[in-house]
Amino acid sequence: MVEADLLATEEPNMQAALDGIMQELIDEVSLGLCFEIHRACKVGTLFLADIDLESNHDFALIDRPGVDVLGQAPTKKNFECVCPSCQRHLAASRFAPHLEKCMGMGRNSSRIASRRIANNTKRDSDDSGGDDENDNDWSYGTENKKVKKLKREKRADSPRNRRAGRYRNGVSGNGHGPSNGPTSSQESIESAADTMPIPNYESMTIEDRKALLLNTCGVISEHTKKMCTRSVRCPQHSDEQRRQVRHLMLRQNRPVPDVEDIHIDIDTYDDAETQSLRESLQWEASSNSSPADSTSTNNSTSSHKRPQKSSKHSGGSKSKKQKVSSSKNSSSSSSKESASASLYDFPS
Amino acid sequence: MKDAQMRATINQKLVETGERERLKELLRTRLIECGWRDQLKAQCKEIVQNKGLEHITVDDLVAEITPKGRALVPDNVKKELLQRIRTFLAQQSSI
Repeated sequence: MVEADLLATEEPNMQAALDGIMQELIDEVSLGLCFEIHRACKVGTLFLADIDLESNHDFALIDRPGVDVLGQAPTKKNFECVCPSCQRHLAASRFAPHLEKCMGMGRNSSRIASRRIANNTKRDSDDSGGDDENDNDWSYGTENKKVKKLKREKRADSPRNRRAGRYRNGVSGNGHGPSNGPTSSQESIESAADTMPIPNYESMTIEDRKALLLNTCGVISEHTKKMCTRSVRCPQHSDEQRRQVRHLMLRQNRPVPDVEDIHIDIDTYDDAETQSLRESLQWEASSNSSPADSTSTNNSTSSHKRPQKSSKHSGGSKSKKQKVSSSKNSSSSSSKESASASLYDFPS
Repeated sequence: MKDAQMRATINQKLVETGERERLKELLRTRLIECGWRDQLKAQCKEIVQNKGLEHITVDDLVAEITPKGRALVPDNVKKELLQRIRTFLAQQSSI
């Protein structure tokens, strides 16, 4: 009621009062602004949003034809990568496919790459195929190295030691390339005489092959052309396959004129068929026999261990022939070496 | 009735009902909308640059800004605000 009276009676005063109230409100709003600005001054954020004239001039957008907004001429940037494997320069977009081929990561490319590495190794022998050592694709070459190492320790006094070292270079790339690695006359004869499909094993002596076959399954895969490096009892391959590969590996060396006279006695080509039959029979028989069998035979011919070892492959019925041959074999170191090699005999 | 007394009475009524806060908020919004705030802010920056960033005080700002602020408020904003207050008072007297 008071207000109504006020409105009605004192209109000019009322107007002044309302103006005063409005001014108060406006002053309060400006006071708020002043506080805000003052705070921004003290905190240091007042001029943050300002435009710096100097940098505005320096970084002004350039609107001319032929250049980008920074005033630079548009140049095509070629991103090039250097292949760590073959040191070639490649466009970045082609790098991954190339690397797949070059490093041998793909399925097919691993074969290509290993072949290439093998060829490189042949060209300069100091570049050993170190890349292959950690390969998941177990290769014959690396396993062979281990065997070679073992043998090398055993026969430090043997003249064959040098040759074994040379093989390591030739084989290290697990190469499928042509066997042009060997340099000595005997080896070239060997490799020339061999027409077997197995690519690199022909350069090994029969001793090396035996050692390898004693340790490993050795079945040559149809796809990779590599030997299985698992143990003799590897479940992937059958006894039949192992027998075949042993037969193949040991037979192919037979016609070769051997200087050292170690294995010429085992077989001749004539009875190869009967030999393989006997061998297979012996394999089955021996798979049931106890390890004591083999040790007893070892003892009986302990003075001629190396022929003994070959008899493990070719069958016990060969012992007569081997005794004949062992008389030819006069090197004392060989008996030592084969004695330790008999440790690697299959137990059955 | 004196002018100051009437002002105090109206003010009390506005504060009691909370209408004063609402009016102030409306005014602030209107002033931001019409660019009053940006104008004042630019003037503040000038003042700060003249006085030096370290030496500026709130009193300096208030003394310089308040008269400018009053002058810069657009007429339509003033009219709207007055109309609001009048409407409020009419509502209060009719109760």
